[in-house]
Amino acid sequence: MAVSCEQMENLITQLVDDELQGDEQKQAVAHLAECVDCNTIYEKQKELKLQLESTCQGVYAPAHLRARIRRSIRESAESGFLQAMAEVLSAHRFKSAVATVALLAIIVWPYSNLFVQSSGTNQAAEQHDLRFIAVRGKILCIDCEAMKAAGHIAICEIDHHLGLQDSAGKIWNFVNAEEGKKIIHDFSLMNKTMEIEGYALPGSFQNNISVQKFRKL
Amino acid sequence: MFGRKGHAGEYQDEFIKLSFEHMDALYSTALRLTRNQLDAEDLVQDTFVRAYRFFDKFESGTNFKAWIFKILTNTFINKYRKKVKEPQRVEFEKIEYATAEPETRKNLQDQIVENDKAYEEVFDDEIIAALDKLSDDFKIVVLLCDVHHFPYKEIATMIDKPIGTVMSRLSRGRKQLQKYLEEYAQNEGYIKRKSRKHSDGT
Ligand SMILES: [Zn+2]
Ligand SMILES: [Zn+2]
Repeated sequence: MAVSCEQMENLITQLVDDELQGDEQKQAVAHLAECVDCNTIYEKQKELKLQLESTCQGVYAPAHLRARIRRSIRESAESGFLQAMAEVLSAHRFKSAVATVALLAIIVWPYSNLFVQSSGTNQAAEQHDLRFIAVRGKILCIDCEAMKAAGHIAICEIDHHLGLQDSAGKIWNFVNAEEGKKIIHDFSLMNKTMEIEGYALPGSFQNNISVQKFRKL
Repeated sequence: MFGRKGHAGEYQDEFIKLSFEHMDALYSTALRLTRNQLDAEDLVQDTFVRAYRFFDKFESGTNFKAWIFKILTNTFINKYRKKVKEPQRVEFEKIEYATAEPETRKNLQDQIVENDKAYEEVFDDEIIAALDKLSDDFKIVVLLCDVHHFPYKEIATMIDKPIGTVMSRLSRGRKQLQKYLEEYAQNEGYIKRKSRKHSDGT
């Protein structure tokens, strides 16, 4: 064999990615034909590449994001100021809710005219709604409760849709974010009292919280 | 202030036509980088707003997808990386990336080959969990190469590093991922321990 197994390590990566040409490619292919070990590594890497591709490509941008981006492009075309605003606001989302609200109050107020002029639903309001909150209450199945309320016998059998009812009786739906997933599928939490921290999402038909943290009380 | 509309209209349409077809690809990458929907949406929005602002600097005829992905990765590195919470992230340098000794590595591979049908049963969740454990530098390169099929040369331009760095991050990143997936498979009992098989036979 013209190439050693050690030299193959780099060549395999390139072969998997179709980055080899000419003699190098020929030598690498020839080595694979004769060396079981390297061929195994090659096959495994190819398999991994395919798996990564199929997993990550099955993800689609939500429709509201398209709408939001379309709007912000329109706005940034209309005014360089609004575009700078969007950046300031989104940078501050990660800081405390209090700071964001304070900042909004200071910056947005004098320009509120401008927002009204530029578009009906403005970005500031949209982002303002995304505040970090903590809710406490009992974990229950939203679907079962809805059925009961409608006078039916409520049984989802295996696949309950967990949510939280706070002391005011409000029912919170967990948005399926990374942390949210863990609670939604953990039916052992049913009837437990918990505290959920996350972003309250705007929307009038139900209370949505994008879960960032949770703990049993 | 609102006077550029006529001309801006066409300019905007052109930008939207070129950029929106990459929205899903950008979002899926942003989601893997930030690991949560809200930050991913913000990152994608920032990317589009920036891309639009610098659109006059884009040379028409060159690869728009590569151009906007470069903006996404740069925005992530400069703005989001520090903000994303990193739970129990182990410093990569402290991990033996080469799956331990060559001997152990070989054994692992044998086990995989013996039971490769089980190995194929790797679900999306496990792939995502493995990706989440990867350090950002490796993850970016792996996503750009394996998911979006950018050539090494373009990835090198995007991350402002030589091609050699792209290659080494790629091969180390993949090794890490394989190690995580193998560990996972072993924990789940998908892969029978070779030692047990031997003690049966001899
Ligand atoms: Zn070999
Ligand atoms: Zn139920």
